[in-house]
Amino acid sequence: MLWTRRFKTLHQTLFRREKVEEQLDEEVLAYFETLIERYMEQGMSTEEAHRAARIKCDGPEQVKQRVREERVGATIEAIFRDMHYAGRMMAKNPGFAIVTVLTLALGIGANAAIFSALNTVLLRPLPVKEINRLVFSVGLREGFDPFGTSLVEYEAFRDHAHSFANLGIALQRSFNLVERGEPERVQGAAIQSDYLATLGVTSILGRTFNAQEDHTGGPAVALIGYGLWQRRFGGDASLIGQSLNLDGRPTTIIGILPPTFDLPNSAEIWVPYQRNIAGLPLSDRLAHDHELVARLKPGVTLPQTDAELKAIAKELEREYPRERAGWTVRAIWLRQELIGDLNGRIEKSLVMLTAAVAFLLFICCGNVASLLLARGVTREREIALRRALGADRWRVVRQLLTESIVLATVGGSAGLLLAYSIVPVLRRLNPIATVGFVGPLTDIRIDGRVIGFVVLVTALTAIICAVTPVAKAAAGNDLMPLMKEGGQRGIAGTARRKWLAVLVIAELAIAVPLLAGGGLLIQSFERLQATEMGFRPERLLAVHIVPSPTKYPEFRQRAAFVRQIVDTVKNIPGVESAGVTTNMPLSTFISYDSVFTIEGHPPVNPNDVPITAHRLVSPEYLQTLGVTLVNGRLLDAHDSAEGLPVVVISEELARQGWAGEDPIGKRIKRVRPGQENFPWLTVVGVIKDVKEDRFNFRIDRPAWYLPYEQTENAMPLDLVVKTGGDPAGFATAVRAAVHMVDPDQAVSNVTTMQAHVAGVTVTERFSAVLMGALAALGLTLAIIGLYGTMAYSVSRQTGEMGLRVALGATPRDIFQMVVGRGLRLIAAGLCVGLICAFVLMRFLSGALYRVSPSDPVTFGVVGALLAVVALAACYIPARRATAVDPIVALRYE
Amino acid sequence: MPKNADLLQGTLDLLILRTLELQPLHGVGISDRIEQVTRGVFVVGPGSLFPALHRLAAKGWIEGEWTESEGKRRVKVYGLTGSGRAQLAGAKRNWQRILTAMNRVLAEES
Repeated sequence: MLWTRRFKTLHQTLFRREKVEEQLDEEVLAYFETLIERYMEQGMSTEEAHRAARIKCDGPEQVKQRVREERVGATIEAIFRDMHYAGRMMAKNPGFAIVTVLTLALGIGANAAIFSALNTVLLRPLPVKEINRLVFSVGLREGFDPFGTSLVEYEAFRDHAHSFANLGIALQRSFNLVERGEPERVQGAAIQSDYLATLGVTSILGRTFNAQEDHTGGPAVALIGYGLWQRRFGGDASLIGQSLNLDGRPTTIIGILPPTFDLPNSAEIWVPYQRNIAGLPLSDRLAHDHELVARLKPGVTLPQTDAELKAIAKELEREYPRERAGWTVRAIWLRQELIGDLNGRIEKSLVMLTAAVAFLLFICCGNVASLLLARGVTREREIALRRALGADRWRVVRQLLTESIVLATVGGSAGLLLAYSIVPVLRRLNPIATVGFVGPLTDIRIDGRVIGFVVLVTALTAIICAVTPVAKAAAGNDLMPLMKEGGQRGIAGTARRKWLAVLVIAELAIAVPLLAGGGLLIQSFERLQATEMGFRPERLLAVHIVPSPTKYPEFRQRAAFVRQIVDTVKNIPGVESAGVTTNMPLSTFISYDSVFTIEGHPPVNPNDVPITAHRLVSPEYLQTLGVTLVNGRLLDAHDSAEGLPVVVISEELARQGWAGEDPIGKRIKRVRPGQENFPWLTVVGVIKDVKEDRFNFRIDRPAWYLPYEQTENAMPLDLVVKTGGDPAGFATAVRAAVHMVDPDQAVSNVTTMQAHVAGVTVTERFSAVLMGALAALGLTLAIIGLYGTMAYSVSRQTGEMGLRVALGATPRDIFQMVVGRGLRLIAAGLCVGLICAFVLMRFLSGALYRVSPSDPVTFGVVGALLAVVALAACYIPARRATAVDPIVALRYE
Repeated sequence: MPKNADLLQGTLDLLILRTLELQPLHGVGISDRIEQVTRGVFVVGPGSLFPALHRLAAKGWIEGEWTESEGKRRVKVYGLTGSGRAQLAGAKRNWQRILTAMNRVLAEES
């Protein structure tokens, strides 16, 4: 058939209906009249002719209807008609329509919002090539924060691993930018040319490094990030080829990398790696300070890769038994690394939230289904009538489905609008503390994928909501009982009551896990919040300072610089104290550890290498941080370069080193292979454990604090300031004080300690707040739904009650009957719900902190709460039912 | 009198096309002609005729035109189009094939 013709007819059917109908009328009429004329010519009277014509053919209306059904686009037309009808039904009953649409909007909107978070963190592509094939290698040592990759590992992977198509490493660095504007500390990295190639990133302007530039003594060139290029250089294209002073070295800018690309670790400047790995001393090659990215070969899976890397790590342990004892590696997806999700907790939280919000939607659907079912009674007779007049079953089902789809579509659109207003809240709550791709990974918004998801959810909702009414309509095979049941006086209506019972049980069964999950997560988060930090974050401001190695090449100079800065900052009005450390607690930067040995307690097993967090601090740092002294004293100004080497240790270190003894006055020493000249340190104080580790936040591990001046080092610094008021208000003054000491000194990562600490538990806060909100919403909706369903179910029994009362039942009997029926449903629902919850909550175990996933108190409270709510939902209507006058009840319609 | 819709579905289209091949006709004319030619084996009432006519028109095989009948009544007269003629030729061949095949089967059986 010609498509143009088909389209024309379709167009006529749908949009020029009147004309088509008119012509059809005329045509059919002409046929009849011709027949009648002929019959009259044959000698019949007018009446007889009419009669004969009617006998010969079916009625004109039926003929026309059959023609209509034959037409192109007849189905579409029928759907339009169904939709039109559905719209009319909604308009006729606006209360029903509004409640339904709002309920569905809530359910679908919440789903869209949660999915948009999941989409942003876990699904959306990132500005690298095929993120789903990129892996990251983590160095692991039991009980410690995860480490980066060491060069020996890199070399072994490069030479022996078969899983990788290509791989490259990067070393974090930062640069002082002093030209063109205020001095600024900029995160950067030294990267191999293979690093960018592995990620599949190319420059948007200029070029990237080539392999020839990446060798010792290669040219001084650098790449600049798009953000930095715009911010500091105004997007000036002529920057390419120009020279910039990077930490005292004139460096030619050769290219700009694309917007939002910032690997590794929020880098904005990249220089070629240019190190001869084989020529480095072993201690450098063993340090876990590099970031390795690798692209898997097609078909290779992550577990295969992980197994291969672990086997290689075992080989390395054989090769370096002393240095690599207790070390292993783990391959994780790069995305996992970027969202800081080594243990999969974030992914789990998001999946769990998605499940919870789906449960919420099920409750919404349950409520809507019970509304539809309730309304279905009034429509049952209408439907029966339609069936009796010849509408086939499919036609009725289609009508009900269309109504459900219309409701769900309106609800879904309203839900999408709702989601647009929830999403900014989610963005503020921010589920992750990311170390790279901060922009793309925290930009929660509604994109095409989310809209596709909403369409899917809406379709699903339409089907779920339609299940009960459709099942009823389709099952209602016999028209007679339906028509007869119109009186509703008998004990009939069992089918409907069965469906109502199913709805009550389902709502309870869904509400229990939702509430239990919410309860458990909130408790877990509260316990996490109440965790003893070991310090007081209130009124603390922290800034990151990296003394320029060219300006302060000698440690003596750096020590003087630190003294000057602390003194100047302390002079700011309102500042109570100030101190400097090499790593503040819960640092997002590389944090330093060191191996120790106890005087008189050589390790039993030579492979046992005890490790402590290694902090070099200025005299007042520990007071400023607000640690709790358990024994001895804190460090003070007397612990100078000339003084006795001393150390303050954490309780955990005291426990590991001198279990059951008083450590004060005992001696401890740092150990590093190939470096034997570390002095013995005398323990002068023990403090309560400070949460130093960000990832191992949940456990305590040893830490020691050495006087900065007694330990030569070139580490970057964190300056911590205790203020008399809101610490955020002191940021400018502290920056100015640092610039008074050295106008070229960059100050970065200015943050209040409270915000910093809160950053550690972002994921937990995100899931606790949202689960709490979802559970509260779920409870509210379940209460509404339960009450509605129960009250309706009781009202359906009014006729029966009247009959029973008329036959001699007392109000007490009636009450018992109604509540008894309700109780059975509630018990069944709670049982199913508690079993579901028990099974589902086991999935939560990794995400919970000091709460058992089957916490009996939570389960008990949730069960009791829902039981009370459901009982009330059944008691109130039962109460009313007993007051019923049998005459009224029997007449009840 | 077979009025089995299933049996007639394809056959009716063929009957109508063949009838219109000889001359354009209006509705009553078509059912009269079919009844005459088949000697009353097929009686096509308006309930089957009009849907078929509209279906064939939608496919572009026949075309309707409003004209005045002898009784000064406006009637829609249907005629075969070019593609209708081609369709009819194909359908005829097809029908012959089926007929021959059916006859063979039936002949074998006896």
